[in-house]
Amino acid sequence: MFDLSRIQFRVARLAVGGLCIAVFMLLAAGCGAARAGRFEAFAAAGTAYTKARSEFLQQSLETYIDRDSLELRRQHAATSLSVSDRQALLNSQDQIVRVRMEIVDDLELHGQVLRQYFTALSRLSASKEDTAAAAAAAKLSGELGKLSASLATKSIGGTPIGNVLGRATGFAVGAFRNRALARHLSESAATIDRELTLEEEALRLLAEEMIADQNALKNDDRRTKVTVPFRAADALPPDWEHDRRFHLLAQANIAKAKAAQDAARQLRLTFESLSKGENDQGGVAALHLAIERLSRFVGNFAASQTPKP
Amino acid sequence: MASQTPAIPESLPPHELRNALKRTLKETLERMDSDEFVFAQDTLNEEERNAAMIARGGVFRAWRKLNNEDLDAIRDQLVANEPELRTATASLEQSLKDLSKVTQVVNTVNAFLAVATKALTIL
Repeated sequence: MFDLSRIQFRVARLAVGGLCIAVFMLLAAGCGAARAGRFEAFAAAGTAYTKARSEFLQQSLETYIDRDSLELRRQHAATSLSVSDRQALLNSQDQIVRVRMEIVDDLELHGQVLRQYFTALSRLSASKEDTAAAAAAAKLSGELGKLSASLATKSIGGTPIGNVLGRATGFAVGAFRNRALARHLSESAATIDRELTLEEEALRLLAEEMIADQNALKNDDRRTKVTVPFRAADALPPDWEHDRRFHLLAQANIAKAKAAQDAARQLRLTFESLSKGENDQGGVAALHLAIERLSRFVGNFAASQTPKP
Repeated sequence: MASQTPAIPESLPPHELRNALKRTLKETLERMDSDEFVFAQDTLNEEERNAAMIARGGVFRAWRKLNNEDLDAIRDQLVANEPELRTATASLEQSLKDLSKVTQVVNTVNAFLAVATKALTIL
């Protein structure tokens, strides 16, 4: 005859022992790891950035083409131009616009790769696997209780063994995740830093040009609706005050396109801070604010565009 | 009339010279876009006005081309960075899969114990 209760106890003890070894190995692997919460905030901000960036790229291109057409209209007014001169001017500026469209298209496609990166980072840093693993481990206590009544009643430091297993496993899985994030930093920091530096430079150029284009477009409209009527001795048009207010307020908003460059820079700075292991809560807050400003800018810009038939 | 754009020093290194040229072209366009310049153009004779309009177009295209070249260079570098960015993304996704495996192991032990409990109860 064999002793059934002893076999049950041994099976349960083996299971608990194996699990404990795995838990401690995972704990050891997680030492010195990065903090998932800050990665999560960075990844969420990065995802929001890629969305706003995409809208900004499109809006900068629309403004680019409008400015180009304005410049063509001005040149078209030159009475000395022949038909072939006009055709050559149109071809020349069309070509410049096509080059820009191609670049913006590539930047947009690249943005999808960047978005995939932030999505992956977000999924890993915000993973709830540690909670799931903790719940699964805590469930072990029930099974252990069925195997061995004495084991189920055991406790560590006054805490039932099932609860200890749950907490330790959850922590270990979290540490495993942190370790993966730390490894990601050591392996890919240079790539991400280069990426974000180039992003910042691209958005700086685009924002500067967009501001210049918007200024030129608004100046032309303001001159026609506000300045020219005022310089004339004739009675002002009935909408003159409204137009003047609109243009003065619009001018103040044009410079807000710089939000794109600011958001890209803040993203880079936050990543640098993460790489150095700094606990830069202010940087994360500044990043959120910068991306919120960019999102607001693209939202306001879209709203300000008169729908064309 | 608008004030003259300052001359670019010739001793600048190439990239700074290029940036200075871009800045000068941009500022020239801004000056040509000022009310002062535009209304002064109206006082010119037709030939001078035509020349001013055509010159403005030349400045504008030169500025646009330089900007496109700069952005084109950045685009190329971003595209060149793509394979490494994809590798980093793949590595993160693999870590997430590995993380799920840990939970799966715990669940498997759970399932094993459930079966063992039933088996031992029957014995």
